[in-house]
Amino acid sequence: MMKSQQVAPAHLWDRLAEAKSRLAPVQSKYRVLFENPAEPDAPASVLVPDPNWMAAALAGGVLPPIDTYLRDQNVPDGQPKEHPYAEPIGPMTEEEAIEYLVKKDISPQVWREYNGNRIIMKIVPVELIPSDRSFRNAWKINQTETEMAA
Amino acid sequence: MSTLSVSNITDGTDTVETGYVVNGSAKAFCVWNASSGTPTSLQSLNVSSLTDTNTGQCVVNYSSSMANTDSIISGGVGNGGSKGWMYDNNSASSVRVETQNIASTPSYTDYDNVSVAIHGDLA
Repeated sequence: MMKSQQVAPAHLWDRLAEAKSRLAPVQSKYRVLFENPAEPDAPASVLVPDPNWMAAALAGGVLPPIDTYLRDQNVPDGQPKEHPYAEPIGPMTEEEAIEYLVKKDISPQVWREYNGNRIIMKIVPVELIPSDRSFRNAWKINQTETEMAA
Repeated sequence: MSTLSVSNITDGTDTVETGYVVNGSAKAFCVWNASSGTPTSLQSLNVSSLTDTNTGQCVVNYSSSMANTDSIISGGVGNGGSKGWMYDNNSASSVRVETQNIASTPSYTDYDNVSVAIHGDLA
């Protein structure tokens, strides 16, 4: 009897390039506001999902498990990383994709290790972000309302 | 996905090893508009998100990390005028791009056509 041979997945970069050629970009309706507790005087940051990345996340079969990125944070530069050749995961909902991005692109100081009383992170619809960038370097997360203070 | 595996590419006159093509292509790029609201990506490859950290400052996060911090990072800010472009805090997984109005006293400013391209080895 023939044994089926396990074929390693293509490199993540190749999968992303292929997905970009096949999938229409998806503009997320969410943004992630966050403040870094290590920089209390800095304004709030706003994370914007990339449309090609979001299309790949919703389609599935492209992105690696989030755990691989988290483990790779402890791998020194120049050493082999786990995430490029990890088996891709299936489709995510947009909300799941945003949670994935929070873990991948925002410091654990913000989403995992913070124990203070201030709200330092919010996932909000894009309409709640000020469209006027006046006073951008004074933006802070509103602690009482769902809207962001500008 | 099918894979075409060849050692060389030729146009009938000139021949080049595919390694030059693969290794020489940009591993990540992004063009965005930061002039209103939050940054809007206009084109990208291998980018998972943009983080708007302040006026004229944006972090570009890669989906597939670079091998190290020695990547070649290039880019610019378009449409003329006295505009400055810099990068800072580059890691294997992201780079911070900064844009300034350099007409007189330099000041961080948001523009509508900011770009960055990253060349180098992938992780």
